[in-house]
Amino acid sequence: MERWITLWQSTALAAFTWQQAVMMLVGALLLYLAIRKKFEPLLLLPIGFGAILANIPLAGFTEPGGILYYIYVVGIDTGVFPLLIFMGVGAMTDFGPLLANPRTLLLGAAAQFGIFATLFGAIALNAIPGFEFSMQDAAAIAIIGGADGPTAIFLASRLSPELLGAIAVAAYSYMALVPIIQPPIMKLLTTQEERSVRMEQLRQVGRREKIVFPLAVLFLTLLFLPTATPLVGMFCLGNLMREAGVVERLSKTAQNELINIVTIFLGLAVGSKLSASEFLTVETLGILALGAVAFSIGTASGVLMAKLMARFSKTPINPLIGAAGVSAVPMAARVVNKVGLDANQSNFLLMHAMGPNVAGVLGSAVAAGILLALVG
Amino acid sequence: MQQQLSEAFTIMLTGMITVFVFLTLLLLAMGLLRRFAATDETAPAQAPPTKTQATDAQRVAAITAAVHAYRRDHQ
Repeated sequence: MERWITLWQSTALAAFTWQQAVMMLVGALLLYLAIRKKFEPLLLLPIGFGAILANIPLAGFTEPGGILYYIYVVGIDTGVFPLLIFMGVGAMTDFGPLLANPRTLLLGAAAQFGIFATLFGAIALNAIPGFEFSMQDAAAIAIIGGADGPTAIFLASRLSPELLGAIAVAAYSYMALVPIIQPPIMKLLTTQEERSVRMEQLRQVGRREKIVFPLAVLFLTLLFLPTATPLVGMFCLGNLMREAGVVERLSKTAQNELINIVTIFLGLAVGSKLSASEFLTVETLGILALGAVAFSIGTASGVLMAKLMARFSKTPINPLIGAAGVSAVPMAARVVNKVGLDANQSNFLLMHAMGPNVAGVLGSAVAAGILLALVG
Repeated sequence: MQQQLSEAFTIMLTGMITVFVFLTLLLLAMGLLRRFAATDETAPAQAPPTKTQATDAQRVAAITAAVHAYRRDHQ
């Protein structure tokens, strides 16, 4: 009889808590969203699976000795994985459209208002009983508005590791929802006439310009904002490898094999943070709500900035491209293109929107550096 | 609470201003960059490859011939 009891106690059935069961369902939901709905499947699939593994009773995946524990410690605790991803993103980014129309940098800057407004919102949420966000927590949540996965994970791992799971899930879910969240806001803030504005063809950008640009970005960052150099530095390294043209092998590796390998581990490590004790709280609901607000405000401020610029500009500017200032490359730019086509069948805004789009990546990395400097 | 809110507000303000100042500096730097780096690039960039429908048709013909030859040899 005693043996039977011992055996029973070693099964998962006896040790299951309802919280773990709920978290496994959350993991299954993420898998469903990834596989059926194709929501950022590259990340949500490993995150969802990691969430299931992390909540298996008695298996100890997330305790010292468990694989997810080590993946988390090696990759996210140290900040290495998000930075490697950022290098890959740099190697995939073409700054050409931004260099051809540098003014769109300001759109990338304006859209970061979503981040800072959300920081204020997170602190304001403390008025509701049950919420107790510190300034660090608020900053980590706010960065969801940057619409940039690796930046969000990097900042959360520095400022507020216990919220990392919820923040990463919110960031990637909303990035997948960009085509649903953005268009109503864009249409609300613009008239049919503004949406159908045609923009001038972009100029050709020389190779030397593209090579010097990442170096110039790095130089400015190290002078004025050293806390942003981990992100910006890795990004610029990736971009320089791409544009230099002499290390094609490294560039290819950074944007394919390396980023793929790191993505698997990053997803698993984020999933390991989806444990019941850290995820099943009111704060998670708050984070999900704040994330949506951050996205919406970012989109709106980008569009409004573009309208402002259009008023003072000699060349025509379609205000829709401001919405691409939240990063979410290249999804946000595609959304701009689509909304533009809806208004004017022959108006292709994709390349014009890529400028603010990559400016948004720089902008959110800069914003992350500022937040690190101010509250880190 | 009140104090925290006002702190959040100052962070919002300083943060937003810093983002703008930084990216404006970058904008100025890009202006300089264009002046110094873009000069020598105009010549090669202005030589578009003469791609006509005829060459496309030739290419299609060549590919078709190759496919036929391959199928013939591998039956």
